[in-house]
Parts: sequence; structure tokens; C-alpha cells
Amino acid sequence: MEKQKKNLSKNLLKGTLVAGALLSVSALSAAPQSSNLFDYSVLGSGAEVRSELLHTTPSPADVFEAKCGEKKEAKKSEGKSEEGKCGEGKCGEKSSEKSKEKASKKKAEAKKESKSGEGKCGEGKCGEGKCGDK
Amino acid sequence: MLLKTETYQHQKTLAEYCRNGKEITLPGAITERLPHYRRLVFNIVNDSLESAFPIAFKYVERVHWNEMVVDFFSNHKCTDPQVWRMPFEFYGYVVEKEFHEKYSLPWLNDLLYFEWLEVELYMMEDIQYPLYKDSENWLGKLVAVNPEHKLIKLKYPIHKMNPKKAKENKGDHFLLLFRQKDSGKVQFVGLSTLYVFILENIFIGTKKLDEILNDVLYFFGINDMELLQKNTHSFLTDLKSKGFVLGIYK
Repeated sequence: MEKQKKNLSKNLLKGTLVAGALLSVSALSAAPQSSNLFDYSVLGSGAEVRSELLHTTPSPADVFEAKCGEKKEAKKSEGKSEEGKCGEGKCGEKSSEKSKEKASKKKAEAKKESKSGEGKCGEGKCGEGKCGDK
Repeated sequence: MLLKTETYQHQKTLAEYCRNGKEITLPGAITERLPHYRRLVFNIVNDSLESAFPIAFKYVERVHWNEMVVDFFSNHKCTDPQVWRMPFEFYGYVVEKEFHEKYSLPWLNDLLYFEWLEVELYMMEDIQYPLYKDSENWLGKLVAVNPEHKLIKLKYPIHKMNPKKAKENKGDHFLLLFRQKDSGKVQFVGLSTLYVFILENIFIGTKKLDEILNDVLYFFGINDMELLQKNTHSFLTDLKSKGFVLGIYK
């Protein structure tokens, strides 16, 4: 009986993430009242998860938008991580409107901007620590 | 832009030098200044990786982290021109080179993947939402969910605890990530096997919720449908409030 159940399960669960876990003996014979069957934990956003694990709030996703020489206040207000992206992070300027736009999450624009991580810095205009206001 | 063959060669030589640091001679270049190019390019790569993987950066010993980054920078030829995708290539490189074994960090691959997924989901192209109706009366209906999501299985619960503790809790750990429509923020939800089973069936989109719950009774050996319905309803309602469950299909 148990074997039949396993075979049927194998077919029905093929390709699913839970297959391995479900086909284990322990899962199939799980006690009905087993409380952890109904466990789930809403961990929050990436920043909240990191805050738990690191006690800081930088977002790795944001870093690709924090370009070469963003104004320091703008970065702080969004809780962005690291310095700029130009090798040494000292040049350029970015208006505070930029961060407001980001906050309002115009995704398409945000994604375009994110490519600036490939960008202008590290090419000799910045990285010497002379330009921009920070 | 078309480049002269000679210019292309010079650029290639400089790029190679930046990556591996092996001495070169470039016509017109001042040799003693070349290391600055290498330093600046390396800084960008290193900084991007540190920023993409802040948790791994914290928990991997600095000397090991530096070895991995230098190895990657020197030997891996990135295939994607977009810098924001580089961390994914780094993750692939770390897996391929089995650094987790070399440095005895069994959780390393899980952690890098987990951290990368937030970037990937955040940056991914928009996926069209299904046509749905706002409702919490799911039984007998096809449940509609936010299509911008990932459901993954990890060996170590690195999303719940620091890697050193997670190392002691090897098992099947399921995690749902989704991008909220309005804020664009990526949200994380840890799940039990039972809820993963329900969600995977919802994603397939061929079974109504009551049919899925009948399968749950069978697979999990539960004989209390009322309890199952009550808990599932509360779970789906919670996920609806977070912007993952949308309602029911029209």
C-alpha cells in the first residue's frame, strides 16, 4: 500500500520543488496535527531580511542605481549602500529629483538608469577623487 | 562603433592587463600609470560584488572573499555586457570552482544564490498580470497570483539565521520571493512543504483550490479538512495583503 502510494506520488509530483521532501518517509507519515505543516514566515523586504542578518539596510538591488557620485544626502535618504561606483566613488553629481523618481518606482526608468553601473566611471574621468560634490 | 584593428588590439591588451595584471607594452601608454586602470576596474568589480552579496561578504573570511574575487576577475570572461548581471556570473563561477568545499562553507552557494535572486527579481522585466477579480472566496476557484515571483529550495536556512547557525540546520528550506507591484520591493516568505505544495499547484493553474486541498489531504495524510481550509485561507489572505495573491481568475 505504502509502495503504491509512493509510486503514484512520484508521478504526480514529477518536476515539483516539493517532490523530494514529500517522497521522504517522514513527510508521508506526517502527523495530521503537526504544527509545522502550516508554518510560514513573512520575512519582509530584502532590506528587512538583511537588517535581521546584518543589522544594516543596504539593498544590493539599489547599488546598481547608485551611480558614480550621487549626492550623499540622496543616498542616505534611500538607505542606499556603498559609495559611488566609479572605482573610487568620488565624482559626478546626481540631483535629488533622481532619488524621488526612484522612490516613486518608475520601473522602466529605474531599469534604464541601473545600466549606468556599466558606465562612465573607471574610465578616467573619475576615480581620481577630484570631481563632483559629495 | 567600428574600430580599427589596431585600436581593437590595444583595447584588448589593456583589458587583459586590467584583469590579470601581467605586464604589457602599449604604444603611447605610460607604463607606470597602467596599474591605476587595473586598480580602478578591479575596484568596480569588487565593489559591485560586495554590494550585491553583503551577507556573504560579511560571513566569508576576508582573505577567502578576496581570493574568490581575484580569481573570478582574473580568469572568468563575463559573457553579459550588463554589469548588474555580473554577480550572477560570480555565483556561477563560485559554484563551478567549488569554493564552498575549498573553504568549508557548505552554505556559500545557497547564500550567494539567495542574495542574487533579489537583484534578479528587482531588475527583471515586467510580466503581465493575469486577468483577475478581487476576491477572498477561493474555494472552487482558480487562485490568481503575482507572476513576478520565484519559489526556491535551499539546503540551509540562510534567510532566517546567520550562516554559521544555518550550517547546523541542513534540510529542505523553501522560500518564496516576489516583487510588489507598487513599490517594486522584493518580499521574502519562508514556507512549509505543505504551503509549497499548494502554491506550486496554484502556479500550474489547472486545479481549483478545493481540488488542491483534496490532494493535500492525500499527500500529507491529513484528515481534518476544516483545519486545512482554515489555515490555507488565513495563509492566502496574508499573502494577498502583501501583494502576492491577487484574487481569483476571471
